[in-house]
Amino acid sequence: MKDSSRKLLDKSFTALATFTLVMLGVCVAAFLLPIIIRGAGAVVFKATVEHEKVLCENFGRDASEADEARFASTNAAREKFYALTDAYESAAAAEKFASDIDALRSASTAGAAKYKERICGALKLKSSERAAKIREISQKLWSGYADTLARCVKESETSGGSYGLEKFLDAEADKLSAAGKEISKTLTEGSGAGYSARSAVARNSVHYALGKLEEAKSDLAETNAAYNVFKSGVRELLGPRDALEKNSLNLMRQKYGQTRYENAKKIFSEDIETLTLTQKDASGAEKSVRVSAREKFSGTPVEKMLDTLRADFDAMLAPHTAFYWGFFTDNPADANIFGGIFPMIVGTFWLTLGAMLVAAPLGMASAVYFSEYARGGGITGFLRMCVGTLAGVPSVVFGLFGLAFLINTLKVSDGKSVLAGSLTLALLILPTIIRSCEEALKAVPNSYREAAGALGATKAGAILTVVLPAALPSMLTGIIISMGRAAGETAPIIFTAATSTGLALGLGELFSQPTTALPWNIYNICSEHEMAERVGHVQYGMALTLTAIVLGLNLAAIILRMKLQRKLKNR
Amino acid sequence: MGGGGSFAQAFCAGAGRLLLFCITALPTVAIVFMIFFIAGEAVPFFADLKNTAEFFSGFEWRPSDSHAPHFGALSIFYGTVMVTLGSCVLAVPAGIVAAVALSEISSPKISNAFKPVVELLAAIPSVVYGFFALVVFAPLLQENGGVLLAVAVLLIAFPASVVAAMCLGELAASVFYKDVRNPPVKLFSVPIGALLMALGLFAAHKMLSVEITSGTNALNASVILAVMALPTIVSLSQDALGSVGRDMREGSFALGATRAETIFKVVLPCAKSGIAVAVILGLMRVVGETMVVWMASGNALKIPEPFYNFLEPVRTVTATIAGEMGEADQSTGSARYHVLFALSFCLLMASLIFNAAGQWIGGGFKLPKK
Amino acid sequence: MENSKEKISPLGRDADRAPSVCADVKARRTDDTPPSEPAVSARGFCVNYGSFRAVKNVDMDFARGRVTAIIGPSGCGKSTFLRCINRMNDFVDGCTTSGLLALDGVNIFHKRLDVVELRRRVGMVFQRPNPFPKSIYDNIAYGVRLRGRIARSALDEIVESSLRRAALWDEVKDRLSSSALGLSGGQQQRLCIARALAVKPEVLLMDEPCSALDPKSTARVEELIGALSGDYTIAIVTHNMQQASRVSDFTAFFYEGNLVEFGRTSDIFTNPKCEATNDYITGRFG
Repeated sequence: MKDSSRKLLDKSFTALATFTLVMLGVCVAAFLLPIIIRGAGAVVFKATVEHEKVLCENFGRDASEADEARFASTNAAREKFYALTDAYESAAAAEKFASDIDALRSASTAGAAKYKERICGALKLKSSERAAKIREISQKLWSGYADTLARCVKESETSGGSYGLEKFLDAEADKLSAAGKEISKTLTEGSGAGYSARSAVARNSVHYALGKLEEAKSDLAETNAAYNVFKSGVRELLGPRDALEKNSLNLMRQKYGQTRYENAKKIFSEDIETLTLTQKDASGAEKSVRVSAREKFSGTPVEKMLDTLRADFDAMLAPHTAFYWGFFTDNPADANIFGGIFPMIVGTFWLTLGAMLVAAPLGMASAVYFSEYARGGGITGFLRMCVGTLAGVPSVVFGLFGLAFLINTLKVSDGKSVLAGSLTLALLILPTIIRSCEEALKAVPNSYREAAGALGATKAGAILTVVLPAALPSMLTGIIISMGRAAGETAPIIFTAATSTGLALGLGELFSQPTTALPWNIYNICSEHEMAERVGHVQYGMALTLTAIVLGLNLAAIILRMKLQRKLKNR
Repeated sequence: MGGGGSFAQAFCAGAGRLLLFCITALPTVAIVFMIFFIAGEAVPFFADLKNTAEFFSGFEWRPSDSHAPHFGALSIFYGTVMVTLGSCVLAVPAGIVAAVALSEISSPKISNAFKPVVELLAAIPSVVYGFFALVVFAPLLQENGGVLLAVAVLLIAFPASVVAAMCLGELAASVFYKDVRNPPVKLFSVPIGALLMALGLFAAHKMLSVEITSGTNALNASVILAVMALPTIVSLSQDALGSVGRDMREGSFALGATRAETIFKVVLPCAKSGIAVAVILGLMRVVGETMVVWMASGNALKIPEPFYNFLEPVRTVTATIAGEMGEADQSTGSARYHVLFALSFCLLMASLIFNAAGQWIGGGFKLPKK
Repeated sequence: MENSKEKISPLGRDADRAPSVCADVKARRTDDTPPSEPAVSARGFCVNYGSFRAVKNVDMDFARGRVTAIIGPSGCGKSTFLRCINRMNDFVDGCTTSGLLALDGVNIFHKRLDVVELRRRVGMVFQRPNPFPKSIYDNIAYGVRLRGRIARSALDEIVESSLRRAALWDEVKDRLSSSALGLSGGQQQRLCIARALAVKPEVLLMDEPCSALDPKSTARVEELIGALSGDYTIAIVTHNMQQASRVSDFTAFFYEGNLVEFGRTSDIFTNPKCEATNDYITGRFG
């Protein structure tokens, strides 16, 4: 091979290796950065006024002056918007139309007299032809009314009042029926027509008007349904308007608007500016379509509402940077949509503490045996091999073992409990602790032991007074790292200790109660939450908290180790 | 004190020693109990030979069906194997190259800086990896899958085609110009390189149009598992490389070898058993991992079409145990409960075999003393 | 300490001294090879480990085809100096050099020098035998194979001739494919020498090649060195003064990084010019 190619190969391999290292770094960054950045968003974020409302009303916080000012200013801004909706929905806006329609109905009713002869003529026909004839005659009678109705609907849709108009039209059918009876009375009075003839006139003379009314109503209903979607979007954004409405709702998530500004903006663009409507297609099947609210309501008062909402968005929500340290100390509320993750942190703490209390002494004792007493040979080799094997057993198998042995056989508790989980975790981290402690003990120079022996200490005495204290800081490093592992393990606690919801446990409940724990709840909130998009910040916040706990422990161990190494170097 | 005192002392020392021995035997007892209890719960399932036969040969998995339950676990085993292989393909070369880079190529400063990075990567809880896979990576894969794949193909194709072009060029030159002292290597390597790069570009272009229907699939799980296995492979391989004596490297350099030649022809062969152990331990972490595969693999009970399609969801043994035991453990004693223990018994056996292989390879090789 | 430094410093800084020694050598050559330029020459050559100067201002020449021994107490910089000749110091962090060290008049530390080529021309045998964990055959063939594909017959020839030169052929010819780690220490060291010879170097550096060997093996290696001189320029670092006097044509004495004295071996050992040299070779320190 030519030397130049050899060198080129050498260089390209160096480049490849460097590239791999860079990719490793990129990997770590790409992994940690989103978690850190978005996780921090659970604590520090742009909050809306609703955030303070939730805190004050549910988590026992006192409203500060700034909060009060915010409540006042946003309420004022919202009133402006609500004034628009009130105006739009009020009956007053529809009054003009109502009076027009009323007037025309009366006019049409009164004008029936001139059709008397023709109607009477029609009554003489066979009953099957009679209805058609009466309808034909009355169509002219009601044409003015129908035009007015159509005009009113159209006008109300473009200039407001459709909400009031719909309410008004709800009663219109009865009024038309009454008008029909009146017409029948006027026309058939004294003609000696029977009951059936009278009712036929009553029914058929307003048939056309009723049909037009239905058309108008369905037209209005469609418009108003869209408006209702818009309104429910607004309610999701701002929360219910008043205490009465609030108290009528069950779920906490319905009682408040968006607490986070980014979610509020999302709701505004996805649920308010764009509406999800159900429409019937040609075959009559319902399907949902997304339409732009601005196009749908173009030229109507709703458009003005949209403008107001957009213009006064910040005034209504009062976005401000909030530090929600309560994320770590509050109980969750309404499936983690509100509140913090306190019970999960406490649960993780108990599980880890329990595991350490069991595993650390056992592991240290084993390490002492391996490094100070064992004399090589087959049995020690076998014991050591078992430690290695235990370290390699998949964590989910530990969980099953905990279920089958600790819970189903030993019955340490009635079902899942912190105790069972801690014991399972202890078994899981035992090999790691044994190994690291043994290494620490081996690093203690033999001269220490010899010096202690020369001073007349027994072997046990030498170990207890000289070797263990010398190895302790280094052992601590290994134990801290194992602690991190115990805190982060999920699979072993699924069947032995973890539950999805619950409050922080007290000391007395640890032996019988399952607990929430960060690792399990991270899985739970990511995979099984019904409103994943509203708890994004909680997902990231939990992941960051767990990562911070584990990495913090590891970092502490690394720093401790570095200090130890420096000490050894200086010695 | 006298003789009595010393007897008491000796007795205490003996008792203490015995106590320590008993504590040390705990992992051994735990292993035995573990095998006993897991096997004990699996036996009721394996006792039915028809079920056992179906377990290892069937594809239909409906353990909770009360009328006609099916226990065919092949697609579950296949999912495990697929995800494991996928992550191995990614993690083993990357891990070994990274270990070589850290212990042979980069300056000690950079190596020291990377040591905590690798340790932290190993310390991150698996559920956080799963979280990343499900919440960050899966949507990314679903929306920009084609672009991501194309970039990945380019990242692999370019360095690979450069190296391959050089090697093939040399080979071709030595075949066609047998007796020439300085054959025109460029004549061969440049067109070969161009061809390979064009192929890479073409493949990347093809990838651009790939649409990924579900972000949680075998690829996602494999990638994340590879990242999880990396720290194990890197740090253990680094240990193995570090235990190769400096004199081996110097001997090679003194004979006029380049660094790459020294690494490939001397250092890596010397460290191969240590690296094999590193790979096995990394593999064990992948096979036994639960949360990541549960969250990232999509949990679909079928063998992908075609069988090598990593863009389809799969389901693994660990995910099946974790996912179904929650529903089964209420009714202890049900067929579903026992078949899940049968699955975990297979898992336990696999891990024991891997472990034995690792210890055998690791113990059976003696490095030349430094 | 200060005193002795002052005394020896003029020797080290005398720029004219080294060439004159060389000229002296040429004049006294008894064989009929034509006199030639020195293979390796150092002029004001210094090596620093960070701020510590391990080799100070060395001026000396290694005569072509001759054995030059470098002696001195531990930590005097002799190994450091030797390892610079094939740039083995590249792998030591914070190691820098100044001054001139040349192989055939070409600066070894030139930026664009081909280190791989240099190391092929300047072979090295280390303190501890370090055969690769491969077969004996592969060990010898290692350096040759690096240069590209080679016919099996040619390779066989090279392996055999190298082993013969290293006086190992008869001992290993029946087990060429068995592991080199199965050889005894002395055999391993000769294998390493054979391995170095296989790439046909011009200069052979030996860094205390016998310090890990028993007396019998040491004698065989010394014999081998004697047989190789003439064909190869050999530089050997040794602690053992008897060894230096037995195998070398020239001897350089290093002390605290300085080249204290350099001359014909017979002169140095019988008639040292410096007090420090005298003290060292008579065993008063070191």
